[in-house]
Amino acid sequence: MRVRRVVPAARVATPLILVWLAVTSAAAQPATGARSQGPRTPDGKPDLNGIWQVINSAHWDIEAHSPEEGVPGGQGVVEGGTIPYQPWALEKRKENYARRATADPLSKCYLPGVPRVTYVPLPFEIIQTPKYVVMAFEIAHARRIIYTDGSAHVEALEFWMGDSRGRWEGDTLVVSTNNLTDKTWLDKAGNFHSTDLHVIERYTPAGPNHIQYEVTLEDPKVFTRPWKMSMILYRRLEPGLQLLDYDCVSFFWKRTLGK
Amino acid sequence: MQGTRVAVVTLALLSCGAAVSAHHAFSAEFDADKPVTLRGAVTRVEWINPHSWLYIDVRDSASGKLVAWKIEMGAPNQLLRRGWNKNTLPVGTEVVVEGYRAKNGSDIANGGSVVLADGRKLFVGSSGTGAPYDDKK
Amino acid sequence: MNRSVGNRIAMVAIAATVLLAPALALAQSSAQPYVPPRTPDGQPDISGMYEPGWIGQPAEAPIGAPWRPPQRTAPGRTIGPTDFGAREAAEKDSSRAQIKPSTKPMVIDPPDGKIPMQPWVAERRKLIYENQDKAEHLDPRVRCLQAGVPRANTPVYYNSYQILQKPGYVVIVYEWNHMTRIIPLDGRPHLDARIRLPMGDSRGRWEGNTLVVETTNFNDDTWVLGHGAIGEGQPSSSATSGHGIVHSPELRVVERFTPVDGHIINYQATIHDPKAFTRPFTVAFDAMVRGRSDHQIFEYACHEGNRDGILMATGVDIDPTQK
Repeated sequence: MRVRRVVPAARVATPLILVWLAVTSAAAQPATGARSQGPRTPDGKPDLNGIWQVINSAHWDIEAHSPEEGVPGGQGVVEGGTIPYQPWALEKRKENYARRATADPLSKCYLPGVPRVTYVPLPFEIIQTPKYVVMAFEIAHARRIIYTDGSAHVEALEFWMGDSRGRWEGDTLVVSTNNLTDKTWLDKAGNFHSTDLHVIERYTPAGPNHIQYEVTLEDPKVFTRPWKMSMILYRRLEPGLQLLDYDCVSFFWKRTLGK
Repeated sequence: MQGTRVAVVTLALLSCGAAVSAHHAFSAEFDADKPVTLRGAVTRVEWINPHSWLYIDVRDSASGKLVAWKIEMGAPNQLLRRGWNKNTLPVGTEVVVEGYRAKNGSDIANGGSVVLADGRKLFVGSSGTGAPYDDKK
Repeated sequence: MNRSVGNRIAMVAIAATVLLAPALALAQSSAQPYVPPRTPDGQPDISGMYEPGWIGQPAEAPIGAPWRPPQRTAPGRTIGPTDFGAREAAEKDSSRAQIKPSTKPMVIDPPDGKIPMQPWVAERRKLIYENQDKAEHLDPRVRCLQAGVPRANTPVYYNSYQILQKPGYVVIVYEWNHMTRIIPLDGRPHLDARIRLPMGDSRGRWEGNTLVVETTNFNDDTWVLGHGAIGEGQPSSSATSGHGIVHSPELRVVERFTPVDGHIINYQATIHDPKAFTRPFTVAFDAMVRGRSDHQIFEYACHEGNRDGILMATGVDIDPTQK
């Protein structure tokens, strides 16, 4: 009698890095469907230049949470509601949460990492050129350079803001980020990751003044599967607006020196 | 086995402007009158700014115990651009460090030179392709 | 005037032009200023990756004997921390072959090459020099505060740059401490004087092929200069390193970035601060040289890795959770 082999019901998700590499090496397919409205750059891409900011409370906690003193309530930005931690990691998140007042690296003005830097409640500016998309953030004058020149990720390095390589899929800017340290948190609530974290962000214009921002996080050391968060980036429209460097290292020293 | 070399250092060295102004005053942290030579195995490397750090375990000749030393090195970005990464100086590599001890007497040194135990220098080659290889000498 | 005189004048004029024209052409070709290509919106195109210029000029004219650049103690020995040849690699990078070594002081005006400090600034400088082991006087750059202007442009081996241009803006990306200057070119006024920033507030415009940037609204986080070389045999009163020179809130800096050929960007900065200096003064040096085509700006996170250095220098532990 033939023995039927049991096949696991759940398919193992393809690691994000393999998905990223496969699409990079394949010929770029134009997106089907309508092009996004809004301004275009001379090289035909959606023009993301300008100052942007989120309006949510992901900075405090990316999962749903009640309002508390100093913390606006939030309905959560995690798709599906709950971050799929491995059991040990869920315990560690609880420990982080208990110590969050002093243990949050951002409270020491350490760089916030990716994607957290996007949703701190301060504006950032996108400077878009064909080969480089530079993002300058008010928070700690953090900066990301996203190489859209077709170059490959660096390997075996660790950066607080990671190493980012991007490309356009139709009207969506897709950014792969790895080489991240494990020293950043994903929010003030103690959500965290390891050095294996691989982030894929998708910036899709939804009209001239809104970007649909979707983030897939994969970290097989910490999570049971890749998961997503999504939110809207709002264009800051006030005329003459510019970034005002929130140089928290300076504030730190003033506090330390008792000034 | 080589004993600790005594490096004669004069105060004139402290006015060696390029090195001093390169970041901050050497004399603020390290003692030119406390030269050290350390031989040991790499336990950890941090390629970070503003200073990289090399952690080595040095066997104390008197007690035979392993003493953990921490060696301050320079800013790594020029090396990272040339291919250096987390794997460049593997854990367990035997190195010899010549430098100067921290003013506060702790097991920290300013690593004036770091070479492999067999005398080869870790150096970025003129081809700039990265990864350590023999110095041309 | 009658026609014959007019004709003669015209003939002389034509003859003069014919005679002078080759001389003019010759003068032009031998002293022809570099004409950079243009960006799509018509700016002179200076975009690209850059390495630092010559490292080792004194900030001001040295005291006493002619300037002697700092020497290492012996071949391969230095009192500084090893960088596994990073500095040497930077200095020998083929992209930097265009740079000419210079021992000239950065100060080109006043003509004596000295920084015209008000007495209180000179006094403060002395106090700072004598107290580098105290956190409050420690070089702000060593504390991972931003370098300010014009100091951010002084060449050091652990920095590099990227210039980007888009319509209405020049953006200067500094590798060190991830400083970024976003410089609008649309002539908008400066920020309200109550807003104070470490890198100030910059407004730019093009004058021919020179980017002119005026920066105001500085806070007190920065020194004006620094990164110059101290030099051999200089007494402690020498300001050749440029370190320790503070400014007042009135500081206004006018910079001029000029591409002198396809490779080098010459830099000039005039410092206006009547409260701190007895007169405006100008520094000039070749700040940047075009880098290799595969050059990348890497992250330079400063504060995050600074705990041990600060602890050893001052005894202040800025992060007891790091061990």
